[in-house]
Amino acid sequence: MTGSSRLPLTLALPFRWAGKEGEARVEICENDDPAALGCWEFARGFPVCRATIAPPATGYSDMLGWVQLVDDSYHADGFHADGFEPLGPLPHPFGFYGVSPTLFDAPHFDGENFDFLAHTFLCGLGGELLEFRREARAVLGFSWGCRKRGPQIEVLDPEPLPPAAWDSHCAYLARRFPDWTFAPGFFQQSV
Amino acid sequence: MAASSQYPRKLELPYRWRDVDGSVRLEMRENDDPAELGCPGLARGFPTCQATVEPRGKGYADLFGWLQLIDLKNFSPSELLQHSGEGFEFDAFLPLGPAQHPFIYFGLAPTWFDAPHTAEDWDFRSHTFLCGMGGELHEVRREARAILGFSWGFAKSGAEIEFYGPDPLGPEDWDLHRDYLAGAFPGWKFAPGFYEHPLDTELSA
Repeated sequence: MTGSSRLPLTLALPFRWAGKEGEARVEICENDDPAALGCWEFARGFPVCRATIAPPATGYSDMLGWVQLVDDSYHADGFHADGFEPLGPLPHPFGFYGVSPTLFDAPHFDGENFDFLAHTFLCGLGGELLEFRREARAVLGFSWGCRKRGPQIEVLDPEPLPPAAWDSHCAYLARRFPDWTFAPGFFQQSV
Repeated sequence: MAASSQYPRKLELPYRWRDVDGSVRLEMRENDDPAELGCPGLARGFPTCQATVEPRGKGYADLFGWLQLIDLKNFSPSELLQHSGEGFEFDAFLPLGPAQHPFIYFGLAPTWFDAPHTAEDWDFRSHTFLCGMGGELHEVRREARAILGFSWGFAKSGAEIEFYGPDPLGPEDWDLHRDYLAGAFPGWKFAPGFYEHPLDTELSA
């Protein structure tokens, strides 16, 4: 855990998917310009997480998606799927999906205390293009978050997650997205 | 309409969104390596298109969505193709299932990609739009604001595949689809015209 003076924090997670090697680059920085990010002013000082994927994907086979689960003190019901609320309810588990999508999140809370822990997974789809198996296969994962106590906001270091962390969420995800299946473990382990 | 030998073609569409200048770079070319793109072998010779957005965006205010409508003719109805054949209709990203929002891809500077293919003699015309969201983050207005658009497509007749476009679309083209979109996505609004009209266009072969 760290104060904002040590930010940004970075984490590089190599992976292999669809026969290609890639890398997810996580950066946690301080939200020092809430208006520029589309946030309210009280978001200042909270962490901003961006995770990018390199190299860029070339087609359907190496498309990927980000699945994020959050355990926060506002909801207080354990880890839950964290979609992008302005889009409304989604029938699939991905916050972002497509050609090398960027994960972005800038959590903020205007109460006195706030705990926020995210488990964020990069996933591909099982099956062939027109098979429509609707199976999410985790490739890698990392945790990040923050703890607010009064005016003090501490940022949790981004850390790699093991396959067991993904497995611990699969039963919930299967209930939350009943048209989808969630393959256990990490598919094509990090190289 | 043009033979695939006249491709790749590139189209650059400048835009302005929330006082930041940006650019969409589109490339349309022949699919000469279906396996590399994750397509079956029959996709060889069809068009494939990719559009990237610059700059990469910083936050919630820069989240964009790609919205695509296709006018499909000469197809066999199936569970996969939820089209009536009576004009432009929303084109969903089928592997993810039906969504309640109108975007095929959504995120920070999302890349748009399509590589259609068929064994049938389709006439496939697409109107593809880059959209931002109206309102503030916590307002949850669910309003799509078109920023720019382009058309592209192909016509297959036996072994011959001819390509359309890519060509820039104007705000009047977007407006033609708004009533349909409002009916297809009743929880959403679709603002008229282009939000901060593209400044210029440049087409190069």
